[in-house]
Amino acid sequence: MQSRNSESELLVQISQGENQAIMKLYDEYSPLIYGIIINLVRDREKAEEIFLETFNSIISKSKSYKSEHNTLAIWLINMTRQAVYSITNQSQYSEYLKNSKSNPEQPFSVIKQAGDTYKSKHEAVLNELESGQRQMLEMILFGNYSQSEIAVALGVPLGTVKTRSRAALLKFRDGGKS
Amino acid sequence: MNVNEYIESGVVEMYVAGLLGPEERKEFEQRLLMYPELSRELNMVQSSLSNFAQAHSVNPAPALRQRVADKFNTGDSGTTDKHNRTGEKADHSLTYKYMIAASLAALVISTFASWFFYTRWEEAENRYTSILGDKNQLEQNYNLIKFDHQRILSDLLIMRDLNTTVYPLRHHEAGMTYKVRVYWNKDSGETYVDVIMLPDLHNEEQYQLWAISGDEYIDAGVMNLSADYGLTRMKDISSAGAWAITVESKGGSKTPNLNKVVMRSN
Repeated sequence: MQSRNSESELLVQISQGENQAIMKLYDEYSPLIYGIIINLVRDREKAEEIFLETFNSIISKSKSYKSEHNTLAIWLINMTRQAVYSITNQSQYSEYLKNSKSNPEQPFSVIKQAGDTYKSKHEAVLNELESGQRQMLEMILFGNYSQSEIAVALGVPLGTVKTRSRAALLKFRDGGKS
Repeated sequence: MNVNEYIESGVVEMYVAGLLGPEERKEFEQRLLMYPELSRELNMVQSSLSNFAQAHSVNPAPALRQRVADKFNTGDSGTTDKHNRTGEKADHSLTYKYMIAASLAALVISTFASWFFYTRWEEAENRYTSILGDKNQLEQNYNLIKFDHQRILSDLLIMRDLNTTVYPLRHHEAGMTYKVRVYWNKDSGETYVDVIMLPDLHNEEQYQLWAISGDEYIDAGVMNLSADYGLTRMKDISSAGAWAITVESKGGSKTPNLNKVVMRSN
């Protein structure tokens, strides 16, 4: 993870139309962005089209990152989620949620295809999560759910949502310290 | 404010996921500066959630990188385009040269044709104008002859009428013979004079015709001498035995100036 200053610098260069900076952003963050998209739309061709549009909108909004308190990764995740929902004109996650209710043990799965070489050191942590925990984090990050909305959607008490999601987050914290 | 309660409300996760409204967001950012615990919690949630997201990362197909590069770079492909366009421009300019040459030639030809046909048209116009003049002249002549003919015809009708009596008026003076004929129809009273020869008068004098019935002189009107020949209609006279012409002042008189009787019929 880059420092906050170098992240801002990169986004300033992008907003000034520097092509090298754009490709640098692509090389570092396209797996993150594409990963979210492919997990949400589950169709490779569709995902690529949405990626191009999403990336384009990220570039055009690069100026607004200056006033952002979040890290670049979080900002990109939020931008991507918003773009996917606005392009597909629906909440893809709610569709996923319907499917996952009939099969709650199936996680928001990573679509690994032949030729995909991306290895995240955090991937292993996913397996450590209890299925409910994983779903809560997915709902927060990809589904735009608040904790109380999660409680309603999953039919569990709000307190349970809080303790479970917090425990899940703490598991990932260790990995983030590198 | 209890920071732990604030954190436990889930506000940090919502802030990170961009779920807070503008005011809640502003409030959160203000508290961030006041409470180090909140700041630490934010860092934890941010890194945890981005780590969680990174765990879902998938490498896109290499072709996608090229599409992105094409979309944002104006690299080699753009230069090739420019070359192609210059070539097209050269072709176009050659085409334009031919087109300009062709249109110049067309201009020359059409200018000559315009001049040629304009002269032809002008000639024809002149000929037409002169023929039109001739035609008008002939028409005028015809009308004059027709007018004379009708007049002669009507004079002849008067002369040939069996009720018309002809009174010749003669006078000899200084080797000149004055000749005037009066035609009088005793049925209708119509009177005509035919001036054959009369000398011109001063401007303030006019010849006047009188009908003599017994001793009475009846005014038959003044005579206007003109170049016209033929009969001139005078006032209608009901009875007349003889005729006289006197010289009167212009406009005529009610009684004849008997000192100036030019001529009278027998």
